[in-house]
Amino acid sequence: MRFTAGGSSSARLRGLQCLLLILGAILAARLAYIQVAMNGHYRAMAANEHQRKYVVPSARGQIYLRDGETKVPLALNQTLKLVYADPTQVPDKPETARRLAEVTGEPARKYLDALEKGKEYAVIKTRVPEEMATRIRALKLHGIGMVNQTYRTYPEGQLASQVLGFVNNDGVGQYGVEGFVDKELKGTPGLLNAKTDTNGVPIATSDNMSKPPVDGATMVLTLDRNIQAQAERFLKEGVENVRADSGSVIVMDPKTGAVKAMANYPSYDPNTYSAVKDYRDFENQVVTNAFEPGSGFKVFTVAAGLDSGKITPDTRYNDTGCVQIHEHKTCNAAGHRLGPNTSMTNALRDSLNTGMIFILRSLGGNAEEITAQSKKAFYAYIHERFKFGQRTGIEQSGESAGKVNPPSSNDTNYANMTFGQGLSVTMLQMAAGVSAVANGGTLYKPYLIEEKARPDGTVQKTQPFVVKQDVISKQAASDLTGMMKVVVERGSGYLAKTPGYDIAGKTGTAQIPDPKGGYLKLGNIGTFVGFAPAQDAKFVVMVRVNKPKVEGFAEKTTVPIFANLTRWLLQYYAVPPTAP
Amino acid sequence: MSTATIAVRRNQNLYRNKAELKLGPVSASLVMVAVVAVLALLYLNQITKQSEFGYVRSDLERKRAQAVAAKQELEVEAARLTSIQQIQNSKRVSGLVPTTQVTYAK
Repeated sequence: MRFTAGGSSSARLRGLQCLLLILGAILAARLAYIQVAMNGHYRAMAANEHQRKYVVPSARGQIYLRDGETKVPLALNQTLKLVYADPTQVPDKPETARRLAEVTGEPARKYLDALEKGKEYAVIKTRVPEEMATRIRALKLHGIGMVNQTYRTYPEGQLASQVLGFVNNDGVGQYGVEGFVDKELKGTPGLLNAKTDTNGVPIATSDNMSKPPVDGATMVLTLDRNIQAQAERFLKEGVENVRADSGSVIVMDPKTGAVKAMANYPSYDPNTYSAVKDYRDFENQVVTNAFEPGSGFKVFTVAAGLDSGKITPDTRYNDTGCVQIHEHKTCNAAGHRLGPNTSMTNALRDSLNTGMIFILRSLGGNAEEITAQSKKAFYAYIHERFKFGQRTGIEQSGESAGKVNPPSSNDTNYANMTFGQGLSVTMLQMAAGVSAVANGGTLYKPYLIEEKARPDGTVQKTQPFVVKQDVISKQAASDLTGMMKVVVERGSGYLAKTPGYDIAGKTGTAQIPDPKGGYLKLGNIGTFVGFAPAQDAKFVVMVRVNKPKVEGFAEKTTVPIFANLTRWLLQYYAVPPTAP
Repeated sequence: MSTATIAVRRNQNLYRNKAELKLGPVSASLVMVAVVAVLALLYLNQITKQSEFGYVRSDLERKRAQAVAAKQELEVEAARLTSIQQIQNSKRVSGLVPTTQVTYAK
């Protein structure tokens, strides 16, 4: 076979062209496979290499309270360091613990224990301030690291702790305001879609933030720091004086429903909430604990009688000391028996159960027996007008509604309800109800949050909310105020009598229901609810003392606390004397 | 030098050949490659600058976070020092005489 020189060259070139074409086609096919078919896979791999997603936490809203016109911080955020260790990387544990202890001032043993117990991660110290962190960093200890952590700090310590609640280690608000408005305080976390360098360190660029965080709202409470502090001080003294188990106080503005103080004793410091042993110490008992109020509730029975026109302060009845209701005999608590011509004013002054049963009967139009009509009328007053048995909606977690039995309940139960047994209420409901008496008949919704400032600059101010207008008439409120003044001037509230001031109030000493049935033989719950000045009330105060270890009724346990706080409040509000 | 050459040189200003720039396929490819390379370099330069600014911004953000943390610390400390407990426990306050009777000007 022979080839010419030209023919041979052309064939080789053609062969080379074909080869290159085939190679090109293979390459193109491969490229198409990688770039088109496997596009998603490789894009994800690349993104994985140099892009990471981070959740950007939103700043929790801060909480303030008032001190006059000044806003005082009650709950703040603080970015501090958490010092941790990888014990496997620590070459000399005792020496490392010793050097750390030199900086922190804590015992080296504590750190050594953590280093020896931990496997790959051990928390050495939390809440480390920047200055201390710098000194720890300067030690250049192997296996010791630090991360930023945001902590909730309560600079006022125990002040209003149960109203406030706390934020747990998972960043979730618990109890009180922190628990109730947790979502609003927390805000919405953002998302950072960050490009990273070869070391995985995020590089900031303008298009990093795929969703910016929205910080939580800052809140200002209606609480007044001075009133709160004094309420806590007088409560603590009062509870300790009578060796009681616990106690609570509420101070409310009767013209708006704004809560000025809510105190409980014993209390706790939310900065060290984990040290609390009894979880009940976390609860704001003023709101969460519904109890049988005892004689303090007679205020509302009398209010029903006066407003319905069935009684006046001078209406007379025969106090026989006891009343027979079917097979049950109900008697006055202190063995009183004032006889015929006992006025309603005296019935309230001496806290006569018989007088309250007389009102219940009168509500039905027949002073001799309890009828379905009288029960319906009484229920309408306490449940539909004063709103007992319903939550107020205050900004506190765990609010109790209390319990009011419907008119279908038996006559004995209804007779007992007139003097505060066989039903349960909260101190908050009582204070709100008495506020309606103090202000002439308007029931306001109690509230704690005065102002919410959102990060977009909007400020939402809470306006007083009228739950019910004319719960009782102005005349009935005025008459009842006069009757409650008599309780302080000549009745069980005598210790609250303050020269120059008219003070209205009512004591209550309630038995404690036995879970097995009936009532406990030992211990009682003492209450006192009142307001001052009686004719133009600036504040309503309710005090509760649980299981005092002294003889006698609430006049010895709760009235002194009420009196001390009321006298201080009259000075604080600069109320000039109104009575001779 | 031949006579003919001398003649051409002498008359060289009398006429001019029409200049014609011709770009062959190879040259065109090279120019294209050069243009793409320059653009790629410009792009790389921009990306590097962006990354550099990103680092500067990250550093500034870190410093800002530190300043915010320091501010928070000072705020908390200030709040603690002016807390009601501190005030009540201060020697100055414990030395104050409580008001017993207030007289109001009518």
